[in-house]
Amino acid sequence: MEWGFIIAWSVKIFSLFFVILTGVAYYTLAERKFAGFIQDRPGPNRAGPFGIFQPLADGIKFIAKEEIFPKNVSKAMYLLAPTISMTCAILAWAVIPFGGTIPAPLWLTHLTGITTIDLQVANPDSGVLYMLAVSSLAVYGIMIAGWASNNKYSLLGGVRSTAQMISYELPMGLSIVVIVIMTGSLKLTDISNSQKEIWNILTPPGFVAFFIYVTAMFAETNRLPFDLAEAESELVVGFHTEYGAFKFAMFFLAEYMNMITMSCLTTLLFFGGYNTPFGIGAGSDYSALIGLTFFIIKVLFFAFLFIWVRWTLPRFRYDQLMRLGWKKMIPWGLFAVMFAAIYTVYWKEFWVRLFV
Amino acid sequence: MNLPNTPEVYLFFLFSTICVLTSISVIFQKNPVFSAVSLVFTFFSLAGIYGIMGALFIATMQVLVYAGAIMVLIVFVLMLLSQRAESLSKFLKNPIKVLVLSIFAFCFFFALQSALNTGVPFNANPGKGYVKVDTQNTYQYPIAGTTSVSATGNVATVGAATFLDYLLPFELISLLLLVAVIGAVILAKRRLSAEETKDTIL
Amino acid sequence: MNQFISGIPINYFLGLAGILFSIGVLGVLIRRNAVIIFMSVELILNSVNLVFVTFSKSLFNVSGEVIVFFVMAIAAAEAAVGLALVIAIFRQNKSANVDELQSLKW
Repeated sequence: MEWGFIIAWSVKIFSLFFVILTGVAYYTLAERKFAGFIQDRPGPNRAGPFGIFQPLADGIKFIAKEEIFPKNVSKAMYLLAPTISMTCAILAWAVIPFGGTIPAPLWLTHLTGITTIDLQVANPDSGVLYMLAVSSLAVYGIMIAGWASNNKYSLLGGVRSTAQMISYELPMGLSIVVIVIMTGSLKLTDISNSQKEIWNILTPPGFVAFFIYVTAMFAETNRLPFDLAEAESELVVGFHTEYGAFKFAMFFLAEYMNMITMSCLTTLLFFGGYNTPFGIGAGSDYSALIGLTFFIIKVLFFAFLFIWVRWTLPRFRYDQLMRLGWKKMIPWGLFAVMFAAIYTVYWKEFWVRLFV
Repeated sequence: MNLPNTPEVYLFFLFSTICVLTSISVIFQKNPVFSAVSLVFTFFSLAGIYGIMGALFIATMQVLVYAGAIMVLIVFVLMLLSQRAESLSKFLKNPIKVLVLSIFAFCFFFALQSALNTGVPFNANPGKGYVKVDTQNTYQYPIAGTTSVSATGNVATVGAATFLDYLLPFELISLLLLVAVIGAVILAKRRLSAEETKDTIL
Repeated sequence: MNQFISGIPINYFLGLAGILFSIGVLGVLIRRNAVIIFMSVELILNSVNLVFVTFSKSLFNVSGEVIVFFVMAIAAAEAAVGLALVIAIFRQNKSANVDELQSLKW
């Protein structure tokens, strides 16, 4: 590791950070527009043509509001909770690969001597495990927020949400293990590259794991149908009742960032990542950019799926949710793992040859 | 003491400072929840140090298991039992006890440090089946019937060693975890009296 | 034997582990709250993990990292059982102070 690498990484990190924050802000606008479309009304359309400047208006509102501290609250913990949520949401972006390698612009080569740039901030040996670890840390933000608010209902919402999130980490881990068994490596680029011939969802164990993973994904991000932690009709806003202005904006942005992260992970694990369908444009000069375009299209589809499901399905009750997680998802997950092991050893070449 | 001017050295000093400061904060905070959150930061910085060393699997496991599961359990227990802040003043009123215990802890540290300075015995041969090819770690193990299993990268090496050399401890650990889960459920169960068992829906 | 890991001599890592160990021992001796004593024991276990990984990298033997994996699993099992005990004691005594556990039968 030399200092040139550090400079190149910093350039990558800052540009990624900008792109993500803008993307997340417009994702909130997209949610409100699609919600309006499903409910047969226009959605925000005052702040600009089609409401384009609505996220900017929301941002200005959040920054300009008064910061309140409730009475008898320990300030350190109260401020720490949204920080942890936001940090874990952003940390997960460090290992997501957006495509292959592109040649570096000339000014960067003169400055640091780097000739190619991977469209990925870091590629550790344990990529998928890193994403699981970061989503385990996100539990702290909610738990500390619920406790530090000095409010009975916030504590209740925080405890319920924590129990939900740790219960659904297990099915998510098991479905990721299915993919790792089929691929043979934990690196996200390896998982994406191994789907060149056939997407993982078209294989039998991948198909079973996909449904487990999508259910766990909705539970991990606290989205409907699993959002009783912030159920508007039951607990006011749940664990972030006592948070106003900018602290609420951090929770809000962290939640939407988590949704996009999970959509990215779904496309990487099950839908071929940045591979182009039917091998369009393979071997040309722009293959990395074509792969990036297809990756973005797939991620946007899953982001739309989150919004679509939220405004379609009713909410789960707490005991139904726990029963689903422990008694149905985990046995199915274990069955999928064993099935994946048997498939990988005996059945894989036969199945892939059917499709190629 | 001439350390190279690489970013790794700076990161090591940053992480070790955070580690020591937060671990001191663990034992000297009045409110137990603050101690628990400080311990989470200690584990996080330790994971950073493991990353600097190149042990990426252990770094990720540290965050996943220690910071993500064990500390969640501890913070859960502290919050649900609504621990009141323990008063350290009762302890600090007895300065002789503080002094004796601190001297004892420092003696521990000096004993460890002097053991370091006398040198470390080591085996000149590399470990069983462990070969260093270029900069990657490669584990080559001859299994009867196959030529060898080669695993490149840190995660694959640890996995190969676990499932080839250390399979028995691995299975025993899974048995131990099962026993721990059953034991924890039985120990923490609330004994319902006769009328309560009829009414409660479990 | 490699005296440097990523350019840092191994004495620095071992010194850090020694500091963490001593702080953990101090925590076990000073504090009277059961959960905080338990957290200090976790700190001691982590210092040992650091020593194992340091020597694994230095002696080019991957067994150290495997043992660290097992130590983490054991620490998790110990956490579950220890905290269940603390909860059971708390229900009886309404306090988690280990100085008050003085009677053999309540």
